[in-house]
Amino acid sequence: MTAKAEAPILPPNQTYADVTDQLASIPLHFPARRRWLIALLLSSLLLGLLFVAATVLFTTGVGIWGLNIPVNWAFAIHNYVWWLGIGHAGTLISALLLLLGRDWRNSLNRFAETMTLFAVVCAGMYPILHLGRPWFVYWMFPYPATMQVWPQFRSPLEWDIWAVLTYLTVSVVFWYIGLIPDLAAARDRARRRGWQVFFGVLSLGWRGSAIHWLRWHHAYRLLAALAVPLVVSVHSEVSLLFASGTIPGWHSTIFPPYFVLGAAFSGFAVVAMIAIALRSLFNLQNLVTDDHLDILGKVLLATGLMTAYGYVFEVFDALYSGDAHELQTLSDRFFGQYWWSYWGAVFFNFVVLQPLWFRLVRRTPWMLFTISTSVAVGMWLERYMILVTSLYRDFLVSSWGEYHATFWDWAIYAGTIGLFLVPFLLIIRLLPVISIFEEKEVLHKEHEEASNARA
Amino acid sequence: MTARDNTPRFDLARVRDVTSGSKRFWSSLEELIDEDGFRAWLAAEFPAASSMFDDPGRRQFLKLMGASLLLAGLGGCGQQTNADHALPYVNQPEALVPGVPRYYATAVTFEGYAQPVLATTYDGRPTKLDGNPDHPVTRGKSDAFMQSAIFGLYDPERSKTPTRQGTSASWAAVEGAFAALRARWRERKGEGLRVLTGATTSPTLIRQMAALAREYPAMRWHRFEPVGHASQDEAMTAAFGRAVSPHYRLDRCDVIVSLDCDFLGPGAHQVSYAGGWAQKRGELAPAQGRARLHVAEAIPGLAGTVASTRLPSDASRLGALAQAIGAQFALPGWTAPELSGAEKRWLGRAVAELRAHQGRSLLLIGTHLDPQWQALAPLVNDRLKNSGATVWYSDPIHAPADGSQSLTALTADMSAGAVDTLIVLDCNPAYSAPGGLDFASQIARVPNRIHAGLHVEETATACEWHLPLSHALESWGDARAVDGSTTIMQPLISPLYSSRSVHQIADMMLGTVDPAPDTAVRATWQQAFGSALGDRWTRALHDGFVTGTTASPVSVTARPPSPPQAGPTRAQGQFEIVFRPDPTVWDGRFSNIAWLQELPKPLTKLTWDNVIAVSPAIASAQKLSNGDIAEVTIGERRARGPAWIVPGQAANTIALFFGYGRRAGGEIARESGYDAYSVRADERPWETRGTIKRIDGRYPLATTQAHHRMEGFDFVREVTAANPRTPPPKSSETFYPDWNKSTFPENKPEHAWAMAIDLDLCIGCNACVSACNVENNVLVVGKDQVSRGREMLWLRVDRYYTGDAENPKSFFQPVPCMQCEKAPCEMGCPVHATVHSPEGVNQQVYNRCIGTRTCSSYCPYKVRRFNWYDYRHFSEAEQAAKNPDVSVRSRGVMEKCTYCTQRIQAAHVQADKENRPLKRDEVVTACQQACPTKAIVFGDLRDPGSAVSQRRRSGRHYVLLEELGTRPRTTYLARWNDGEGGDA
Repeated sequence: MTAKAEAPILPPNQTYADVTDQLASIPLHFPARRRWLIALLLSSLLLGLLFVAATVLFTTGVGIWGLNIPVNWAFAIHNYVWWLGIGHAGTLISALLLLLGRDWRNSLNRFAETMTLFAVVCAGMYPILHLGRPWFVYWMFPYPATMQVWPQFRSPLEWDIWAVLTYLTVSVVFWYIGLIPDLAAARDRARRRGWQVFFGVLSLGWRGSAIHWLRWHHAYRLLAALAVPLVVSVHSEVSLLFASGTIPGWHSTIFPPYFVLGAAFSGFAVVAMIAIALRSLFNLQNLVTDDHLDILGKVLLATGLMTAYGYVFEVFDALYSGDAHELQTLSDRFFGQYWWSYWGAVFFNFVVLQPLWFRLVRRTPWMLFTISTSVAVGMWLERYMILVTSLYRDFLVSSWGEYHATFWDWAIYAGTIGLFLVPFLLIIRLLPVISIFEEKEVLHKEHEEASNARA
Repeated sequence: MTARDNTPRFDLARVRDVTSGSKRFWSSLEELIDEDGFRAWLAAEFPAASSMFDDPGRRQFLKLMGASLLLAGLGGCGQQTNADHALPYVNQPEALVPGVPRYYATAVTFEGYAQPVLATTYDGRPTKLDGNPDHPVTRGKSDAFMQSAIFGLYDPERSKTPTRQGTSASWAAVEGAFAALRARWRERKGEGLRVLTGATTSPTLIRQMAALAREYPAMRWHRFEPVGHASQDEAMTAAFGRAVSPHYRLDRCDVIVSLDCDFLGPGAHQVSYAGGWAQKRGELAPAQGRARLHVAEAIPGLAGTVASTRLPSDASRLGALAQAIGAQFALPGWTAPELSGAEKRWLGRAVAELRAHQGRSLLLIGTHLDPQWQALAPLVNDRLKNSGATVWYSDPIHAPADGSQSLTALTADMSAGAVDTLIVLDCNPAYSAPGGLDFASQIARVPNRIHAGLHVEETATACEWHLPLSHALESWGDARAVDGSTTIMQPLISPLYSSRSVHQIADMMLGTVDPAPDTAVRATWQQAFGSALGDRWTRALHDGFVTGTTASPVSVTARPPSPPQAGPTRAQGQFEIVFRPDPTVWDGRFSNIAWLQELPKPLTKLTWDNVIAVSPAIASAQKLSNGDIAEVTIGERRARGPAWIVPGQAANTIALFFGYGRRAGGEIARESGYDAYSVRADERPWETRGTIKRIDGRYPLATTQAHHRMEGFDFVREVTAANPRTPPPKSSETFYPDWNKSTFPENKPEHAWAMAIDLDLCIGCNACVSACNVENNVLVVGKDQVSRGREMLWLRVDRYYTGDAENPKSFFQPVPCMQCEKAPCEMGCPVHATVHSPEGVNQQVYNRCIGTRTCSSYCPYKVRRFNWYDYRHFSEAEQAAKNPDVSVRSRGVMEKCTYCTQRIQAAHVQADKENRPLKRDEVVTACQQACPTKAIVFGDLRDPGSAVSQRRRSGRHYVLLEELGTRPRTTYLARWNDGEGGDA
């Protein structure tokens, strides 16, 4: 393997059949049953915790959380933003890089999209959980109510509903369309009747004809073109949830790009974590190569630096405005009760990131995994910081308060991790985790280029 | 006994069984199916008749009582009402429209004084009390106690039936016991018969006690008030040779000098004095006749917060200041003591101003000071020609008690075995007697012990008999307000439980069997009104007071007080400990009222507990911080409680507050705090010496305001005589048109509601907050929720300090919803649950709210409150207290101040019915109505003559957080600074 940018990303010494066999056999002849079962068991426990916590929440009220006036938004909203941010990388990798013709995405897009799906589901849970009267959540939709009351379209929460639902719908369709050729491949390799029917139905009669491929390419690229602006709109919109309020620390025009970049940052970190985990679990070093990790490391570093730019500009904004309340909030972030959330974000998101300047670090799986984990934690702290340090001391000193997360705050959060992992584990058990045909496309291209070069 | 408890299930078979083949007469189905229950009811309702109902006399019984029994519905109008038996009217009474409130004048009492009220009742349920607007004392204004009295009526833990040794008994049994006791008293000519009451002004009770004394000459009537005016009586007796009540005309004072007299603080006089004081404030600039106020006090009081100059001063130094004043006025034998520089400066200025405003000044010396110092004030006021001008004296309003009628004398007699029967009426000495008296163990020596009270309180558990008292709103009675005018109290509702009034019980002591609720009061006024009883009685009930009963001045001349025995000494190695009533539960009488528990104390903003208040100096020396458990040792006795550092408390002073550490008297009362009475000495009730030390451990306290400095912001602004205007508003660029420059003139609202709060008049008394709670059905959330920052107050009074902790300047700022014209909250709500009314009110639609809390997150003033849980845990009785015009909010719903939108709507409806426009200032919000200083003004901005428009034109007008561009409708008037920091 060579380190040159133009060099083939996949080792060329493999045939198409090898790739298909290797990937399609994962669901059919699952290699790591024990480890997978343990992981599923632990995740199910977390999911069970979510059910318990949600039951308590729905029966008694959001009072079980540590919320109060002034901090009447905390874990629910900040985890919502965090999950949604994680969900961003999938679409970015799949759609944006597809349109840009970056071949390395083909090793990552399938599980990145899967990750997006369940991260968005986790995120989508929160706006319902966090309602005082969740049974009226349908009032946020413009259904033809007999009282002729509409939702309020000025509210960022209303846009939120639309943005997230659109994003989820497009992500699901995009993920499924991308899956069809592989479902057909799995159908063709399945020996047992059950699997054949399962994959047969899901593959929608795919036969791999040229016209199929043509239609498929049209559809896939069209959806990709639709999905890319959604990545930007969803998180811009989420940021307006804050920026529309007058609260110091929120009321800033930098928020939309700041949030989108932060989202991509955390998303890529989680993609890197999953890539490294799957690669070692299923011995996919030949498909998710060190070069892939290298690229992921670079992207992480780039988005991380952009996020850091956001930090710098938040400080600059406050100082430049000279507004006493903004300065107060700035000092609360630096030195206040929740200083650890600010400096934690700076440390995990910026300081820990710096070794990525070195090639060795980027290509060493455990190092990249550690840094990615740190970014996931750092972004969690950043969302917490933005929410809590702004609200706990807003304008009037008399209404300053404190926020302390309760057991139930943590239970719901841990529960959503279960909600993310359980279906994710099921998917990697049931479906090809890496896009088979797209890998073969890359391989094909590489072989062609190689033979052209020889000629 | 309530009918619900023993009403058996109706069983037709049983009825057939009983009635078949017999010619038995029966008057009710209950009688047929449940003979035992019927008998019990009969015995309770008609004790005299119950013996007649035995079989042989039944025919005779029916002859005599048939009519009464057939009118058994009367039971519903008398002793027992029960929702189970409520029936709709067959013929609706004229002028009684369901859902339309009716107003009745009556009074509730506080330390024996009448608090004249105008009560709002809906369909027979009183729901709100406000000051009687026609009464000279209240002029429609009220205080926190008066506002919350309604909760006392509906307290579900009130005692509901007489008990004997803890088991319920009937009133018939009580009357039997009284019959036996009366025989005993008669035999001994009343020797050993003692009655103990709180302070009283009631002509009827005084008459009844006199009658009792005539019948049993050796009986003695003791009075005990844990706070009260005992030391003032002593001082007045020392000054004038007789007990008199002083009356201050604060509206005539240019200069007030107060030595520890918190005349604006909670108490019977608060409404009257705060109103008088406020007349000399407001728009009057310094040096334009605005009253100046100089206060020296041991612990920060409300008068201190609005003073021109304030001097924190230990109790012993207050004595020194008094002595120095005496010396300055050249009283014979009074020598000037050593004073510190600050004391000299304060005193020099205070005395100079007193002298400069002869006849228009006033020296007040607090009732917590030793009577020898208090006796100085009348003389100095005489010398300053203030007597008759700013202060006058009347015969005592309350029935004064001499030494032999004190609790001390009673306890001594009890321990000597000289007391045979002790009847405690509406007084709780087993809890509130000074610990030094050891009343609780002495009472056990009395053979016959009867207690009558609203609750099964400490004294009740120490007595053989406990008799449930009717609430003031359930009973006939009379009492005098602080100006002496007498209110005949009429019941607004028939007693909720099997209870009787104090006067009924006194009549029972006098031998009346089953006294009617109004007999005693009518008898008293029969003597006064004579043949004109009917008219004058009706007139008095209508007006809420009896005309011509206001106290008249008596001509008295103060004698020079004897020189102080020994000059006040500084405490060596000890701290000065002062005792004070709690600002919200007072001496413990309100400790079972949840709303008063949750009402933040004006200065500490604490709820649900009392604290050991320490000065910043003591805190730093003893390494105490807020919430640390401290132990105060006074002689042999110790008290443990949470410490709280109070800025502005005198350096060597520790303050203990009454009203907590209850051992009985209801679930809420028992929950919290420590008992300060246990370390109180009888001979030095108000100040003593002791030590304090820190004990390991912390005590959780719930406060509604954790930060007290303004952190460099100008939420509360000040103006000075040299600089009497707030800076003009900065014009800010905006896309939005002004509300009255609408592009669609036809959409122009007819009214634009607004509120202006004058911070110069606000004394932080909590009357507005209490009124808001009652008016708007604001729910109690409990200590745990308050400590999590979830209190429900729609209107909060923020308190800020500036300056050093030893003697800071304090500011109060009531913060209701600002009703922003450009409300950040409104654009955040995804479901249109908070919207703007055409008249400019930011409305909250509870039914539509789904609880996203975006509105609250966006609210810069954080005035919105959220129902984190379902807080509607109230009993049936408490439910009756709710204002039917305001929905009670359920779980998951945001709520906030609405400018009392129900009142605005009611005014609109009334105006529409009368086919007229709304009158100027016709709509009055609950907070505005209650405010004793008229700090809150509400009205229509479109009317340039309305009070609120006038205030908006004031130079002191400013907008809270104006730079945000929210354009609040609630605005403020800056406070005058005429003290040392100002340039007056």
